Amino acid sequence: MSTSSSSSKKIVLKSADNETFEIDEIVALESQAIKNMIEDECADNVIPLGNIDSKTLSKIIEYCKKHAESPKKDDNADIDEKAVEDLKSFDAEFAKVDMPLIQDILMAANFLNIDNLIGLMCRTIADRIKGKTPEEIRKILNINKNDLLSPEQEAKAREENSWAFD
Amino acid sequence: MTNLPSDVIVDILSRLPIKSLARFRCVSKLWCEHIDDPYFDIIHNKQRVAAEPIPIFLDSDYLNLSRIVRFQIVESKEGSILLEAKKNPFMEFECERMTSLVEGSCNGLIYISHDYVNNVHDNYVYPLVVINPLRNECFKLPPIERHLDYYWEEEMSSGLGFDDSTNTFKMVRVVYKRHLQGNNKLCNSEIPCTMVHVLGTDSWREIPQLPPCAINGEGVYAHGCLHWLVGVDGLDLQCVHTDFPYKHPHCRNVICFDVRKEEFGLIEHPKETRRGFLYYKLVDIQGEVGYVYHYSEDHSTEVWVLKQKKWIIHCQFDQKPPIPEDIIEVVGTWNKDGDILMKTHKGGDRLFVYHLKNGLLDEVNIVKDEDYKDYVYMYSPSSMVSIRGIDIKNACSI
Repeated sequence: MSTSSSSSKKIVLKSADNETFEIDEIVALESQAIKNMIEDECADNVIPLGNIDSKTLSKIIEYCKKHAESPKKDDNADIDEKAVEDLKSFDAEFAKVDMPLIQDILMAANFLNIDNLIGLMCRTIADRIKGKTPEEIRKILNINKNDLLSPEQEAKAREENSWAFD
Repeated sequence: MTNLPSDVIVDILSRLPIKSLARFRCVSKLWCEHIDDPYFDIIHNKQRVAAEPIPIFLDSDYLNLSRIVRFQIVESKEGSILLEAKKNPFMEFECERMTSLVEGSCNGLIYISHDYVNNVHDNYVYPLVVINPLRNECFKLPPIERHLDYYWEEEMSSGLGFDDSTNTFKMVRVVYKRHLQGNNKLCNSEIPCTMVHVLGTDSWREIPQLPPCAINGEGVYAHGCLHWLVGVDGLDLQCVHTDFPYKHPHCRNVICFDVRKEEFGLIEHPKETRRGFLYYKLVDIQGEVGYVYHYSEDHSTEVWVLKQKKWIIHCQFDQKPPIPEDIIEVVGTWNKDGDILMKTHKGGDRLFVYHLKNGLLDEVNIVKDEDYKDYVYMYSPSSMVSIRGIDIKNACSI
Protein backbone atom coordinates (compact mmCIF):
# COMPACT_ATOMS: atom_id res chain seq x y z
CA MET A 1 0.00 0.00 0.00
CA SER A 2 2.76 2.40 0.91
CA THR A 3 4.19 4.20 -2.07
CA SER A 4 7.48 5.12 -0.44
CA SER A 5 10.42 2.95 -1.37
CA SER A 6 14.12 3.53 -1.38
CA SER A 7 14.30 3.46 -5.15
CA SER A 8 11.73 6.25 -5.73
CA LYS A 9 12.90 9.63 -6.90
CA LYS A 10 13.90 12.08 -4.19
CA ILE A 11 13.40 15.82 -3.92
CA VAL A 12 15.33 18.03 -1.53
CA LEU A 13 13.68 21.07 0.03
CA LYS A 14 15.71 23.77 1.75
CA SER A 15 14.12 25.96 4.40
CA ALA A 16 14.77 29.64 5.09
CA ASP A 17 17.10 28.70 7.94
CA ASN A 18 19.08 26.45 5.55
CA GLU A 19 17.89 23.09 6.80
CA THR A 20 17.44 20.50 4.08
CA PHE A 21 14.67 17.90 3.89
CA GLU A 22 14.92 14.92 1.55
CA ILE A 23 11.50 13.61 0.59
CA ASP A 24 10.00 11.24 -1.97
CA GLU A 25 8.87 12.98 -5.12
CA ILE A 26 5.37 11.62 -4.61
CA VAL A 27 5.19 13.53 -1.31
CA ALA A 28 6.43 16.75 -2.93
CA LEU A 29 3.76 16.39 -5.63
CA GLU A 30 1.10 17.21 -3.03
CA SER A 31 2.23 20.77 -3.62
CA GLN A 32 0.82 22.07 -6.89
CA ALA A 33 3.62 24.66 -7.03
CA ILE A 34 6.40 22.05 -6.75
CA LYS A 35 4.55 19.79 -9.17
CA ASN A 36 4.57 22.58 -11.74
CA MET A 37 8.27 23.17 -11.16
CA ILE A 38 9.05 19.49 -11.67
CA GLU A 39 6.89 19.30 -14.79
CA ASP A 40 8.53 22.41 -16.19
CA GLU A 41 11.86 20.82 -15.36
CA CYS A 42 12.98 23.84 -13.44
CA ALA A 43 13.42 21.92 -10.22
CA ASP A 44 17.09 21.22 -9.61
CA ASN A 45 18.21 18.81 -6.95
CA VAL A 46 17.47 21.30 -4.21
CA ILE A 47 14.38 23.51 -4.08
CA PRO A 48 15.04 26.56 -1.91
CA LEU A 49 12.06 27.82 0.08
CA GLY A 50 13.32 31.14 1.31
CA ASN A 51 10.12 32.15 3.06
CA ILE A 52 9.40 28.95 5.02
CA ASP A 53 11.28 28.14 8.22
CA SER A 54 12.27 24.59 9.16
CA LYS A 55 9.64 24.24 11.90
CA THR A 56 6.84 25.08 9.46
CA LEU A 57 8.37 23.05 6.64
CA SER A 58 8.66 19.90 8.73
CA LYS A 59 4.93 20.22 9.61
CA ILE A 60 4.10 20.68 5.93
CA ILE A 61 6.11 17.59 5.01
CA GLU A 62 4.41 15.59 7.76
CA TYR A 63 1.05 16.55 6.26
CA CYS A 64 2.05 15.84 2.66
CA LYS A 65 3.53 12.44 3.58
CA LYS A 66 0.33 11.31 5.22
CA HIS A 67 -1.85 12.59 2.42
CA ALA A 68 0.38 11.16 -0.31
CA GLU A 69 0.18 7.73 1.35
CA SER A 70 -3.58 7.81 1.66
CA PRO A 71 -5.74 6.67 -1.25
CA LYS A 72 -7.05 9.64 -3.21
CA LYS A 73 -10.80 10.25 -3.38
CA ASP A 74 -10.86 10.63 -7.16
CA ASP A 75 -8.75 7.49 -7.74
CA ASN A 76 -11.70 5.22 -7.22
CA ALA A 77 -15.14 5.81 -5.88
CA ASP A 78 -15.20 3.08 -3.25
CA ILE A 79 -12.16 3.73 -1.09
CA ASP A 80 -12.66 2.20 2.28
CA GLU A 81 -14.23 4.36 4.93
CA LYS A 82 -11.53 3.47 7.41
CA ALA A 83 -8.90 5.29 5.35
CA VAL A 84 -11.14 8.37 5.18
CA GLU A 85 -11.69 8.29 8.94
CA ASP A 86 -8.00 7.78 9.53
CA LEU A 87 -7.14 10.83 7.44
CA LYS A 88 -9.79 12.88 9.22
CA SER A 89 -8.39 12.11 12.65
CA PHE A 90 -4.88 12.80 11.37
CA ASP A 91 -6.03 16.23 10.16
CA ALA A 92 -7.70 16.95 13.49
CA GLU A 93 -4.52 16.04 15.39
CA PHE A 94 -2.35 17.93 12.92
CA ALA A 95 -4.32 21.15 13.49
CA LYS A 96 -3.78 21.05 17.25
CA VAL A 97 -0.99 23.64 17.26
CA ASP A 98 -0.84 27.26 18.35
CA MET A 99 -2.22 30.11 16.27
CA PRO A 100 1.11 31.59 15.11
CA LEU A 101 2.16 28.20 13.71
CA ILE A 102 -1.28 27.69 12.11
CA GLN A 103 -0.83 30.97 10.30
CA ASP A 104 2.73 30.12 9.25
CA ILE A 105 1.53 26.78 7.89
CA LEU A 106 -1.32 28.53 6.10
CA MET A 107 1.02 31.07 4.50
CA ALA A 108 3.39 28.29 3.42
CA ALA A 109 0.56 26.09 2.14
CA ASN A 110 -0.74 29.05 0.20
CA PHE A 111 2.71 29.63 -1.31
CA LEU A 112 3.21 25.95 -2.13
CA ASN A 113 -0.40 25.68 -3.31
CA ILE A 114 -1.52 22.69 -1.25
CA ASP A 115 -5.27 22.96 -1.55
CA ASN A 116 -6.37 20.54 1.18
CA LEU A 117 -3.99 22.02 3.69
CA ILE A 118 -5.15 25.58 2.95
CA GLY A 119 -8.71 24.39 3.55
CA LEU A 120 -7.78 22.63 6.78
CA MET A 121 -5.95 25.66 8.16
CA CYS A 122 -8.72 28.10 7.16
CA ARG A 123 -11.29 25.85 8.78
CA THR A 124 -9.19 25.65 11.94
CA ILE A 125 -8.77 29.42 12.15
CA ALA A 126 -12.50 29.97 11.50
CA ASP A 127 -13.37 27.53 14.31
CA ARG A 128 -11.03 29.25 16.71
CA ILE A 129 -12.04 32.84 16.01
CA LYS A 130 -15.80 32.53 15.52
CA GLY A 131 -16.69 33.40 19.11
CA LYS A 132 -14.10 36.14 19.58
CA THR A 133 -14.48 39.92 19.78
CA PRO A 134 -13.09 42.24 17.08
CA GLU A 135 -10.34 43.35 19.48
CA GLU A 136 -9.24 39.77 20.05
CA ILE A 137 -9.22 39.12 16.30
CA ARG A 138 -6.97 42.09 15.69
CA LYS A 139 -4.49 40.68 18.17
CA ILE A 140 -4.70 37.03 17.10
CA LEU A 141 -4.40 37.71 13.38
CA ASN A 142 -2.03 40.66 13.73
CA ILE A 143 -4.26 43.08 11.84
CA ASN A 144 -2.43 46.10 10.45
CA LYS A 145 -3.11 49.12 12.68
CA ASN A 146 -3.28 51.41 9.66
CA ASP A 147 -6.25 49.44 8.38
CA LEU A 148 -8.56 50.04 11.34
CA LEU A 149 -11.91 51.77 10.89
CA SER A 150 -12.21 55.30 12.20
CA PRO A 151 -13.92 55.54 15.62
CA GLU A 152 -17.05 56.90 13.89
CA GLN A 153 -17.09 54.09 11.31
CA GLU A 154 -16.56 51.50 14.01
CA ALA A 155 -19.37 52.95 16.15
CA LYS A 156 -21.67 52.82 13.13
CA ALA A 157 -20.74 49.22 12.29
CA ARG A 158 -21.33 48.23 15.92
CA GLU A 159 -24.71 49.92 15.96
CA GLU A 160 -25.79 48.32 12.68
CA ASN A 161 -24.90 44.88 13.98
CA SER A 162 -25.59 45.30 17.68
CA TRP A 163 -27.40 41.93 17.70
CA ALA A 164 -24.12 40.17 17.00
CA PHE A 165 -22.42 41.50 20.12
CA ASP A 166 -24.30 39.58 22.78
CA MET B 1 4.46 37.35 11.35
CA THR B 2 3.19 38.59 8.00
CA ASN B 3 -0.42 39.44 7.31
CA LEU B 4 -2.54 36.83 5.62
CA PRO B 5 -3.27 37.48 1.93
CA SER B 6 -6.76 38.57 0.88
CA ASP B 7 -7.86 35.33 -0.77
CA VAL B 8 -6.97 33.43 2.40
CA ILE B 9 -8.89 35.90 4.56
CA VAL B 10 -11.93 35.47 2.31
CA ASP B 11 -11.55 31.70 2.61
CA ILE B 12 -11.55 31.96 6.42
CA LEU B 13 -14.47 34.41 6.49
CA SER B 14 -16.56 32.20 4.21
CA ARG B 15 -16.46 29.48 6.87
CA LEU B 16 -17.75 31.68 9.68
CA PRO B 17 -21.32 31.84 10.95
CA ILE B 18 -23.22 35.01 10.03
CA LYS B 19 -23.22 36.29 13.59
CA SER B 20 -19.41 36.30 13.69
CA LEU B 21 -19.33 38.09 10.32
CA ALA B 22 -21.70 40.77 11.57
CA ARG B 23 -19.36 41.33 14.50
CA PHE B 24 -16.16 41.17 12.45
CA ARG B 25 -17.18 43.97 10.11
CA CYS B 26 -15.41 46.27 12.55
CA VAL B 27 -12.16 44.29 12.74
CA SER B 28 -10.60 46.34 9.93
CA LYS B 29 -11.44 48.22 6.75
CA LEU B 30 -10.33 45.25 4.66
CA TRP B 31 -12.51 42.80 6.60
CA CYS B 32 -15.48 45.12 6.35
CA GLU B 33 -14.99 45.44 2.60
CA HIS B 34 -14.76 41.66 2.17
CA ILE B 35 -17.85 40.98 4.27
CA ASP B 36 -19.91 43.69 2.52
CA ASP B 37 -18.96 42.50 -0.95
CA PRO B 38 -22.04 40.97 -2.62
CA TYR B 39 -19.81 38.35 -4.23
CA PHE B 40 -18.54 37.32 -0.83
CA ASP B 41 -22.13 36.66 0.11
CA ILE B 42 -22.39 34.17 -2.76
CA ILE B 43 -19.22 32.37 -1.64
CA HIS B 44 -20.48 32.33 1.94
CA ASN B 45 -23.85 30.88 0.91
CA LYS B 46 -22.08 28.03 -0.88
CA GLN B 47 -20.39 26.99 2.36
CA ARG B 48 -23.85 26.65 3.92
CA VAL B 49 -22.72 27.49 7.45
CA ALA B 50 -25.70 26.65 9.63
CA ALA B 51 -27.20 29.74 11.22
CA GLU B 52 -28.87 29.77 14.61
CA PRO B 53 -32.38 31.14 14.01
CA ILE B 54 -33.45 34.18 16.03
CA PRO B 55 -37.03 34.52 17.29
CA ILE B 56 -38.33 37.88 16.12
CA PHE B 57 -41.55 39.81 16.21
CA LEU B 58 -42.77 42.62 14.01
CA ASP B 59 -44.09 45.56 15.92
CA SER B 60 -46.00 48.31 14.18
CA ASP B 61 -47.76 50.21 16.92
CA TYR B 62 -46.37 53.42 15.59
CA LEU B 63 -47.99 55.28 12.79
CA ASN B 64 -45.15 55.44 10.36
CA LEU B 65 -42.56 53.42 12.16
CA SER B 66 -42.25 49.67 12.28
CA ARG B 67 -39.81 47.77 14.42
CA ILE B 68 -38.40 44.29 14.40
CA VAL B 69 -38.00 43.14 17.95
CA ARG B 70 -35.88 40.14 18.76
CA PHE B 71 -36.19 37.82 21.69
CA GLN B 72 -33.50 36.34 23.84
CA ILE B 73 -33.75 33.29 26.02
CA VAL B 74 -33.58 34.47 29.62
CA GLU B 75 -34.25 31.12 31.25
CA SER B 76 -34.17 27.56 30.02
CA LYS B 77 -35.03 24.67 32.29
CA GLU B 78 -36.67 21.32 31.84
CA GLY B 79 -40.17 21.80 30.51
CA SER B 80 -39.98 25.53 29.93
CA ILE B 81 -38.14 28.20 28.05
CA LEU B 82 -38.56 31.87 28.90
CA LEU B 83 -38.12 34.53 26.23
CA GLU B 84 -37.80 38.24 26.69
CA ALA B 85 -38.07 40.93 24.04
CA LYS B 86 -34.90 43.00 23.77
CA LYS B 87 -35.45 46.65 24.55
CA ASN B 88 -33.43 47.94 21.63
CA PRO B 89 -35.11 46.92 18.40
CA PHE B 90 -33.34 44.63 15.97
CA MET B 91 -34.14 47.22 13.37
CA GLU B 92 -36.49 50.13 12.96
CA PHE B 93 -37.81 51.32 9.64
CA GLU B 94 -40.16 53.91 8.33
CA CYS B 95 -43.17 52.42 6.70
CA GLU B 96 -46.90 52.78 6.69
CA ARG B 97 -48.68 50.43 9.03
CA MET B 98 -47.71 46.85 8.30
CA THR B 99 -49.19 43.50 9.21
CA SER B 100 -47.59 41.94 12.23
CA LEU B 101 -46.70 38.84 10.30
CA VAL B 102 -43.60 38.04 8.35
CA GLU B 103 -44.95 36.54 5.16
CA GLY B 104 -41.85 34.69 4.04
CA SER B 105 -38.12 34.73 3.63
CA CYS B 106 -35.27 33.79 1.35
CA ASN B 107 -31.53 33.79 2.09
CA GLY B 108 -31.89 36.05 5.11
CA LEU B 109 -34.25 38.57 3.54
CA ILE B 110 -37.81 38.68 4.84
CA TYR B 111 -40.90 40.22 3.34
CA ILE B 112 -43.95 41.78 4.87
CA SER B 113 -47.14 43.19 3.43
CA HIS B 114 -49.36 46.05 4.45
CA ASP B 115 -52.43 45.12 6.40
CA TYR B 116 -54.82 47.14 4.35
CA VAL B 117 -55.55 47.67 0.71
CA ASN B 118 -55.37 51.16 -0.57
CA ASN B 119 -58.42 51.42 -2.74
CA VAL B 120 -58.37 54.63 -4.70
CA HIS B 121 -60.30 54.90 -7.95
CA ASP B 122 -60.56 51.15 -8.17
CA ASN B 123 -56.79 50.80 -8.38
CA TYR B 124 -55.95 48.02 -6.03
CA VAL B 125 -52.52 48.31 -4.55
CA TYR B 126 -50.79 45.44 -2.82
CA PRO B 127 -47.59 46.75 -1.36
CA LEU B 128 -44.79 44.51 -0.18
CA VAL B 129 -41.67 45.42 1.74
CA VAL B 130 -38.46 43.37 1.66
CA ILE B 131 -36.16 43.71 4.63
CA ASN B 132 -32.68 42.60 5.54
CA PRO B 133 -32.62 42.99 9.33
CA LEU B 134 -28.88 42.27 9.39
CA ARG B 135 -28.17 45.39 7.37
CA ASN B 136 -30.97 47.60 8.67
CA GLU B 137 -32.30 47.86 5.18
CA CYS B 138 -35.80 47.93 3.88
CA PHE B 139 -36.94 48.09 0.31
CA LYS B 140 -40.47 48.92 -0.79
CA LEU B 141 -41.55 46.99 -3.86
CA PRO B 142 -43.48 48.88 -6.50
CA PRO B 143 -47.20 48.16 -6.22
CA ILE B 144 -49.01 45.90 -8.64
CA GLU B 145 -51.72 48.11 -9.99
CA ARG B 146 -54.59 46.53 -11.81
CA HIS B 147 -57.84 48.05 -12.84
CA LEU B 148 -60.73 46.06 -11.53
CA ASP B 149 -64.37 46.79 -11.28
CA TYR B 150 -66.62 46.27 -8.33
CA TYR B 151 -67.52 42.71 -9.22
CA TRP B 152 -64.00 41.34 -9.24
CA GLU B 153 -62.04 40.15 -6.35
CA GLU B 154 -58.37 39.33 -6.20
CA GLU B 155 -56.41 36.90 -4.18
CA MET B 156 -52.74 36.18 -4.40
CA SER B 157 -49.89 34.04 -3.24
CA SER B 158 -46.35 35.32 -3.08
CA GLY B 159 -42.87 33.99 -2.65
CA LEU B 160 -39.37 35.41 -2.55
CA GLY B 161 -36.68 33.42 -4.34
CA PHE B 162 -33.08 33.72 -5.41
CA ASP B 163 -31.87 33.25 -8.96
CA ASP B 164 -28.25 32.11 -8.71
CA SER B 165 -27.61 32.48 -12.44
CA THR B 166 -28.04 36.25 -12.18
CA ASN B 167 -27.55 36.61 -8.41
CA THR B 168 -30.83 38.44 -8.08
CA PHE B 169 -33.79 38.07 -5.78
CA LYS B 170 -37.16 37.63 -7.42
CA MET B 171 -40.51 38.25 -5.84
CA VAL B 172 -43.15 36.06 -7.47
CA ARG B 173 -46.88 36.69 -7.08
CA VAL B 174 -49.65 34.60 -8.54
CA VAL B 175 -52.75 36.73 -8.72
CA TYR B 176 -56.25 35.32 -9.12
CA LYS B 177 -58.97 37.50 -10.42
CA ARG B 178 -62.36 36.12 -9.55
CA HIS B 179 -65.76 37.35 -10.55
CA LEU B 180 -68.15 37.94 -7.69
CA GLN B 181 -71.75 36.97 -8.21
CA GLY B 182 -74.68 38.83 -6.73
CA ASN B 183 -74.87 36.56 -3.69
CA ASN B 184 -71.19 37.16 -3.07
CA LYS B 185 -70.25 33.55 -3.72
CA LEU B 186 -67.33 32.96 -5.99
CA CYS B 187 -68.21 31.67 -9.39
CA ASN B 188 -65.88 29.57 -11.48
CA SER B 189 -64.49 32.23 -13.74
CA GLU B 190 -61.02 32.62 -12.41
CA ILE B 191 -58.19 34.29 -14.24
CA PRO B 192 -54.74 33.70 -12.82
CA CYS B 193 -51.65 35.61 -13.80
CA THR B 194 -48.03 35.33 -12.68
CA MET B 195 -46.10 38.48 -11.90
CA VAL B 196 -42.35 38.66 -11.29
CA HIS B 197 -40.39 41.51 -9.77
CA VAL B 198 -36.59 41.52 -9.69
CA LEU B 199 -35.41 43.26 -6.53
CA GLY B 200 -33.78 46.54 -7.36
CA THR B 201 -35.81 47.19 -10.51
CA ASP B 202 -38.86 49.43 -10.47
CA SER B 203 -41.59 47.34 -12.03
CA TRP B 204 -43.35 44.00 -12.22
CA ARG B 205 -43.55 41.95 -15.35
CA GLU B 206 -46.18 39.40 -16.24
CA ILE B 207 -44.80 36.05 -17.37
CA PRO B 208 -46.74 33.61 -19.58
CA GLN B 209 -46.19 30.63 -17.23
CA LEU B 210 -49.07 29.77 -14.94
CA PRO B 211 -49.22 27.24 -12.10
CA PRO B 212 -50.86 23.94 -13.19
CA CYS B 213 -53.51 24.56 -10.54
CA ALA B 214 -54.31 27.21 -7.99
CA ILE B 215 -51.73 27.80 -5.27
CA ASN B 216 -52.19 28.71 -1.68
CA GLY B 217 -50.52 30.85 0.96
CA GLU B 218 -46.92 32.00 0.98
CA GLY B 219 -44.10 30.22 -0.83
CA VAL B 220 -41.31 28.31 0.87
CA TYR B 221 -37.96 28.79 -0.84
CA ALA B 222 -35.38 26.00 -1.06
CA HIS B 223 -32.67 25.07 -3.58
CA GLY B 224 -33.62 27.57 -6.25
CA CYS B 225 -37.35 26.80 -6.14
CA LEU B 226 -40.41 28.27 -4.49
CA HIS B 227 -43.00 25.83 -3.14
CA TRP B 228 -46.69 26.32 -2.46
CA LEU B 229 -49.53 24.02 -1.53
CA VAL B 230 -52.30 23.44 -4.02
CA GLY B 231 -55.44 25.26 -2.96
CA VAL B 232 -57.21 28.56 -3.06
CA ASP B 233 -58.52 29.56 0.33
CA GLY B 234 -55.45 31.54 1.39
CA LEU B 235 -54.95 29.65 4.63
CA ASP B 236 -51.58 28.32 5.67
CA LEU B 237 -52.99 25.36 7.54
CA GLN B 238 -55.15 23.11 5.37
CA CYS B 239 -57.39 20.22 6.37
CA VAL B 240 -58.81 17.13 4.64
CA HIS B 241 -60.20 13.77 5.70
CA THR B 242 -58.20 10.93 4.18
CA ASP B 243 -61.31 8.79 3.59
CA PHE B 244 -63.34 11.37 1.73
CA PRO B 245 -62.88 12.43 -1.85
CA TYR B 246 -60.46 15.28 -2.10
CA LYS B 247 -61.55 18.75 -3.01
CA HIS B 248 -59.16 18.80 -5.90
CA PRO B 249 -57.30 16.11 -7.90
CA HIS B 250 -54.01 17.65 -6.83
CA CYS B 251 -55.13 18.28 -3.29
CA ARG B 252 -52.19 18.23 -0.83
CA ASN B 253 -49.63 18.28 -3.63
CA VAL B 254 -46.96 20.94 -3.92
CA ILE B 255 -46.53 23.37 -6.78
CA CYS B 256 -42.95 24.43 -7.31
CA PHE B 257 -41.53 27.31 -9.28
CA ASP B 258 -37.98 27.26 -10.61
CA VAL B 259 -36.80 30.81 -9.89
CA ARG B 260 -34.09 30.72 -12.56
CA LYS B 261 -36.07 29.13 -15.40
CA GLU B 262 -39.36 30.69 -14.30
CA GLU B 263 -41.23 27.44 -14.79
CA PHE B 264 -43.83 25.71 -12.65
CA GLY B 265 -43.83 22.05 -11.68
CA LEU B 266 -45.76 19.64 -9.50
CA ILE B 267 -44.43 17.60 -6.57
CA GLU B 268 -46.44 14.82 -5.01
CA HIS B 269 -47.20 15.06 -1.28
CA PRO B 270 -45.61 12.69 1.26
CA LYS B 271 -47.59 9.53 1.92
CA GLU B 272 -49.67 9.82 5.07
CA THR B 273 -49.13 7.12 7.67
CA ARG B 274 -52.47 7.40 9.48
CA ARG B 275 -56.07 8.01 8.55
CA GLY B 276 -58.70 10.52 9.57
CA PHE B 277 -58.66 14.27 9.72
CA LEU B 278 -55.39 15.52 8.44
CA TYR B 279 -54.02 19.03 8.84
CA TYR B 280 -51.14 19.93 6.60
CA LYS B 281 -48.90 22.84 5.78
CA LEU B 282 -45.50 23.74 4.31
CA VAL B 283 -42.73 25.19 6.46
CA ASP B 284 -39.11 26.12 6.06
CA ILE B 285 -36.97 23.51 7.82
CA GLN B 286 -33.39 24.79 7.85
CA GLY B 287 -33.50 25.94 4.27
CA GLU B 288 -35.36 22.84 3.05
CA VAL B 289 -39.04 22.46 2.24
CA GLY B 290 -40.77 20.92 5.20
CA TYR B 291 -44.20 19.29 4.94
CA VAL B 292 -46.15 18.91 8.18
CA TYR B 293 -48.94 16.40 8.77
CA HIS B 294 -50.95 16.71 11.92
CA TYR B 295 -53.31 13.79 12.57
CA SER B 296 -55.91 15.35 14.83
CA GLU B 297 -57.54 12.04 15.86
CA ASP B 298 -54.29 10.30 16.78
CA HIS B 299 -52.80 13.49 18.25
CA SER B 300 -49.68 12.89 16.26
CA THR B 301 -47.48 15.13 14.14
CA GLU B 302 -45.01 14.34 11.36
CA VAL B 303 -42.53 16.66 9.73
CA TRP B 304 -41.23 15.60 6.31
CA VAL B 305 -38.39 17.25 4.42
CA LEU B 306 -37.87 17.24 0.66
CA LYS B 307 -34.38 15.97 -0.11
CA GLN B 308 -33.32 15.13 -3.65
CA LYS B 309 -36.95 15.03 -4.75
CA LYS B 310 -37.86 12.55 -2.01
CA TRP B 311 -39.78 13.14 1.20
CA ILE B 312 -37.64 12.12 4.18
CA ILE B 313 -39.06 12.07 7.69
CA HIS B 314 -37.50 14.81 9.86
CA CYS B 315 -39.35 13.89 13.04
CA GLN B 316 -42.55 12.36 14.36
CA PHE B 317 -43.99 13.01 17.78
CA ASP B 318 -47.15 12.38 19.75
CA GLN B 319 -49.06 15.03 21.55
CA LYS B 320 -48.61 14.70 25.28
CA PRO B 321 -48.57 17.13 28.19
CA PRO B 322 -47.74 19.97 28.38
CA ILE B 323 -49.28 20.28 24.89
CA PRO B 324 -53.08 20.64 25.17
CA GLU B 325 -55.41 18.56 23.02
CA ASP B 326 -55.60 20.93 20.14
CA ILE B 327 -54.53 21.24 16.55
CA ILE B 328 -50.80 21.73 16.37
CA GLU B 329 -49.43 24.23 13.93
CA VAL B 330 -45.71 23.92 13.26
CA VAL B 331 -44.06 27.35 12.97
CA GLY B 332 -40.55 26.35 11.94
CA THR B 333 -37.21 25.29 13.37
CA TRP B 334 -36.23 26.52 16.79
CA ASN B 335 -32.46 26.14 16.50
CA LYS B 336 -29.79 24.73 14.24
CA ASP B 337 -30.29 21.27 15.71
CA GLY B 338 -33.58 21.23 13.82
CA ASP B 339 -35.84 21.23 16.91
CA ILE B 340 -39.41 22.16 16.06
CA LEU B 341 -41.34 25.22 17.23
CA MET B 342 -45.12 24.86 17.17
CA LYS B 343 -48.17 26.59 18.49
CA THR B 344 -51.68 25.76 19.67
CA HIS B 345 -54.57 28.20 19.76
CA LYS B 346 -57.24 26.75 22.06
CA GLY B 347 -57.72 28.91 25.14
CA GLY B 348 -55.08 31.40 24.03
CA ASP B 349 -51.96 30.94 21.99
CA ARG B 350 -49.29 28.68 23.41
CA LEU B 351 -45.86 27.86 22.03
CA PHE B 352 -43.93 24.62 22.38
CA VAL B 353 -40.58 23.25 21.29
CA TYR B 354 -40.04 19.61 20.40
CA HIS B 355 -36.43 18.47 20.90
CA LEU B 356 -35.23 15.96 18.33
CA LYS B 357 -32.47 14.48 20.45
CA ASN B 358 -34.42 13.43 23.52
CA GLY B 359 -38.05 13.75 22.41
CA LEU B 360 -38.80 16.22 25.20
CA LEU B 361 -41.31 19.05 24.95
CA ASP B 362 -40.79 22.53 26.37
CA GLU B 363 -43.36 25.26 26.67
CA VAL B 364 -42.15 28.66 25.51
CA ASN B 365 -43.30 31.64 27.54
CA ILE B 366 -42.66 35.28 26.94
CA VAL B 367 -41.91 37.75 29.70
CA LYS B 368 -44.65 40.38 30.09
CA ASP B 369 -46.26 40.45 26.69
CA GLU B 370 -48.17 37.28 25.89
CA ASP B 371 -49.67 38.84 22.77
CA TYR B 372 -46.42 38.26 20.96
CA LYS B 373 -47.01 34.53 20.96
CA ASP B 374 -49.04 34.43 17.82
CA TYR B 375 -46.43 36.34 15.88
CA VAL B 376 -43.10 34.80 16.81
CA TYR B 377 -41.17 34.23 13.63
CA MET B 378 -37.97 32.20 13.49
CA TYR B 379 -35.65 34.34 11.45
CA SER B 380 -32.63 32.67 9.89
CA PRO B 381 -29.84 35.25 9.74
CA SER B 382 -28.05 33.87 6.70
CA SER B 383 -27.00 36.78 4.56
CA MET B 384 -25.22 40.08 4.96
CA VAL B 385 -26.18 40.96 1.41
CA SER B 386 -27.14 44.58 1.01
CA ILE B 387 -30.42 45.20 -0.78
CA ARG B 388 -28.81 48.39 -2.00
CA GLY B 389 -25.98 46.29 -3.38
CA ILE B 390 -28.49 44.30 -5.38
CA ASP B 391 -29.95 47.55 -6.58
CA ILE B 392 -26.66 48.83 -7.93
CA LYS B 393 -25.85 45.51 -9.56
CA ASN B 394 -29.14 45.51 -11.39
CA ALA B 395 -28.75 49.06 -12.46
CA CYS B 396 -25.42 48.05 -14.00
CA SER B 397 -26.68 44.93 -15.72
CA ILE B 398 -29.64 46.57 -17.42
